[in-house]
Amino acid sequence: MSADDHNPTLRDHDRARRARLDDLLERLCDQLATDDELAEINTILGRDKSDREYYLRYISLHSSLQRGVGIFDDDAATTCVTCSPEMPTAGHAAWAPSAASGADRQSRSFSRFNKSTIWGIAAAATLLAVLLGVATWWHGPADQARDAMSLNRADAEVAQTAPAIADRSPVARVTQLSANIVWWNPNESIALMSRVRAGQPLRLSRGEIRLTYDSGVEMRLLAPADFVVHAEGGSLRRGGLRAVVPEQGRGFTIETPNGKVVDFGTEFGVAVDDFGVSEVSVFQGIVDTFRISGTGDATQTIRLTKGEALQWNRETFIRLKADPLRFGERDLNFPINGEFDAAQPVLDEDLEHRRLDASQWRQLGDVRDADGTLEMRGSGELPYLVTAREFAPTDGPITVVCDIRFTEIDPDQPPSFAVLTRSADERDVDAPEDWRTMHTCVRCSFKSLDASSTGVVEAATKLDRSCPLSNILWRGFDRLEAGVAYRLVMTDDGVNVSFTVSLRDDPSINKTITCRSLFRGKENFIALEGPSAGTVAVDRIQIFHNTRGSMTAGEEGDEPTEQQHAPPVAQDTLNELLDTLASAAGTLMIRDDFDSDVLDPSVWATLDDVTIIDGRVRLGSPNREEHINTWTNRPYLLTKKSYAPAEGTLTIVGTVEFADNFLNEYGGSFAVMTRADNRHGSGPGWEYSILRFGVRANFWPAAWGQEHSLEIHEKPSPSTLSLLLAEGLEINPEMRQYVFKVVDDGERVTLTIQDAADATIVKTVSAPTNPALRSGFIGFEGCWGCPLWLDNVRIYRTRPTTRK
Amino acid sequence: MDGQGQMTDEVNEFAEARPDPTSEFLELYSHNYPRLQYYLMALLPTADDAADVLQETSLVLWKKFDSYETGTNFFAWACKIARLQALKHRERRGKSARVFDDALLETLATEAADDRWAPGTLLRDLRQCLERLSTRDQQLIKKRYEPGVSVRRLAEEIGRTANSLSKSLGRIRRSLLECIQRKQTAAGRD
Repeated sequence: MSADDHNPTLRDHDRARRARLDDLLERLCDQLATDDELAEINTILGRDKSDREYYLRYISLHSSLQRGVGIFDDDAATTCVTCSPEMPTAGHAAWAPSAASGADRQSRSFSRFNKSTIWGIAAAATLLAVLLGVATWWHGPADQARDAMSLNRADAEVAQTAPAIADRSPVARVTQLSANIVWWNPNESIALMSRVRAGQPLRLSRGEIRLTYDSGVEMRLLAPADFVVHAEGGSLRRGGLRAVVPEQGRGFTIETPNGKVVDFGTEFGVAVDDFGVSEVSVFQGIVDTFRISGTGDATQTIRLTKGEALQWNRETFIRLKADPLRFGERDLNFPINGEFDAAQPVLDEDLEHRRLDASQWRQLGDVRDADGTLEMRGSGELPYLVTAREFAPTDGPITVVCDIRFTEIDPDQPPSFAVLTRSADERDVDAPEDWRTMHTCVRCSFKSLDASSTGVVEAATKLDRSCPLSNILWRGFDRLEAGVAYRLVMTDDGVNVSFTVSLRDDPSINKTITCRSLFRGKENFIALEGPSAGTVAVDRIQIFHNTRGSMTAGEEGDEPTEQQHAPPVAQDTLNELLDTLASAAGTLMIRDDFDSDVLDPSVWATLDDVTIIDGRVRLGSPNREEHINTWTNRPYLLTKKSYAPAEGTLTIVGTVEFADNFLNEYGGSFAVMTRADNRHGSGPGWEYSILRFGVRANFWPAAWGQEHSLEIHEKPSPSTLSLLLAEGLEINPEMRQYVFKVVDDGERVTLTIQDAADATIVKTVSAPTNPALRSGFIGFEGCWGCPLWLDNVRIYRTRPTTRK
Repeated sequence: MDGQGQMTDEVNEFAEARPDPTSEFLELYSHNYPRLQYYLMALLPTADDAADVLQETSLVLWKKFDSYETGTNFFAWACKIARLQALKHRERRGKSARVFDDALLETLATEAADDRWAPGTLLRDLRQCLERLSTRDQQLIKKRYEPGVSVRRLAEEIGRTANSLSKSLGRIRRSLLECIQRKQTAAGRD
């Protein structure tokens, strides 16, 4: 029924036209309208005022839904949504002042706005932050705005609905202060052995403090950090912390701008960067991470165990290995004022006196030698100079020094130049203009927003090819002038990035920004990015890489060590093992040793890269860069038939051998999915890389050091994935061959993994599963980038059982 | 992540010294933000054009805030600037940003400034009307308007074609419009 069925003034032919307009508007709002349809809309609206009114009403609805805030909430406090500043509302704790700073006084004036206005305030405050160059880094409205704008709306909602701090009794004691501590505001400093109260902010520019909570929790707060103490935990707005939680401290909770982490008696670290990314690393025990996604109403719980880490933002999450280095095991604090290592550069291009050493660089776009300089010219596409080899900041801080001049400034296109770290070496040429840069990177730019405005210093990250750039801008530098020599210095220690712009000939005129990006570079090239129009002359480039320990800068540090491997296990031995594993398993339904040249199409289907090679099935193929990419669909060998294990227990056995790189980086994994769909999910998160639904018994040898994880997941719908269980198995890192057994009776899934040569290395895990997942295909899953070889597959089934 | 986050790194003391026009601007801009968003969306209904122009507009509004006379209609003043920014955007983007011809754009620029269709007038009713939808429709429309969601992507996720999903969304939007219109008629607001 249309809104116009109730409009008595609309005649029949008008109704038909309105119905057509309805069709067109729905396609317009859903971004499906073709050029012809757009032209038709133009014609209809051009003719009739009542159609235009209808259009405006439609767009008004569309824009209200799009803004969403306050509309989809169930919170009664948000029912007044007329955006009247005169209308006082309760329940907006985060905009209410928490301390008597100037910024908080400023924010107090916003506290009377209701929820639907917050987005506007955030936008306004952000805008002012840029324009005035006077907003606050920490708790001012600009910071709220940064959360809202650069993180996302959902994150801001969480920040704003943080619990009000009612109880201000002392909850912890400062038991250690580092010697180099610098408080963000000296008047907020706290003496050693003082008590801190719930609601108290702790803001550090440098150094660290240790808090001992009354519950016995020991927590180190690592600068730069912005933290608010709660009775049993706290709220980490920015920075890092590491906590050791004893039994009586269970439930210790750290909130971040887009979720929270609840601890169950463990040691763990939490970090929040400036680009909307939170991270938790678990060093001991278990934590539950509550990740807020979408509009903020959906919370996903992800349980992590020892050695696991998770990075997440609103859109997605990535599983990683826990990295203690990021949580207090080395000093991540930066040299202030853009100091850089005085040692010899590992790469030095003095372009005023020598030509570029072409063996050290790749050029993309218009980059050319000119008289005593190197010119990067914008020709619509962005020109790049990319290092031929990678420089990983995790091996030690990297500093790039670059002297440039804007020799030709296009009157219509503002000038820009950027230094990229943790960068891919391929351009995102198809991306929308605002996202265009390398596939992944942290980018430090010096530019103007338009030809007449003052200089802007920007830091941005691109987390994945399909992600937009997330950026932060700072003003505070004079207008970019043609011909002036600028010196840009970028330092990256793997988390913190500092970027200094100065006049080369008058270093006293300088501006430094620092920001924190948790993005772990998938590739680690250094790149220089020229403008999209105009010309930049590059006079000098120096790269310093202060590598740690025995690693030295240069190729030798990057050479992989020779892999040692156990000898292959004889087929007879494997058969005996499988016979033992499968004893009393029921009727043999499928047995395949894959000795023919092709897969039997009546038995098997495949998804992605699955081939028979030398009598085994190879799942996946190696990556060019040896990086194991979990963001890409995984390969599957699938049964053609569907099975309902509740009607006959399935027992699946076989052997699997991993490729050499199975313990590198993220590592290889092998899984058997039952009750599964025979299609991939879609989307950027790893959970989409597996089948759309099913129960997943997974062996992840590289999960953490020698603790090689056995996991059981269930995926009841394409976008929901639950980890039901994860336990470690001590393996022999030289052994790549394993036998597996998966038993599924429709209610419970049991996974056994055994070293093919050593019967003492064996583990069985079992978990009850969602009975709504009733039937489906059986899938054998590989991990893209670490091929594995599957063989000797046998599938048994008992039948009939008494269960229905 | 929206790629629009912006902040400055100066220190707190400045915040206290912030001049009055700042808070005045903040208050007016915040208050009128939903309407400006709607206004630009009406002129530039495709993709993210409106969001881009809104950001540019906000900068210009601040730059020109001196010329705004306190006590006069901020929205009317802001609309003039937003309209110019929309025109500039069309020039820059060329054909891709042109849904409407110049004459229609001018007409819409005038008509969209009318209070009657501003989001503020329908929000209260919209909320109640959303509650009347079936749970399934509520979930679908909510999912559609999650930040960053495209209909094509959502369609893939739920295993439907984009066209059929858009049809369902269109039906839901129409029933919302109808519900709002009934409420407004009953309250004598339309």
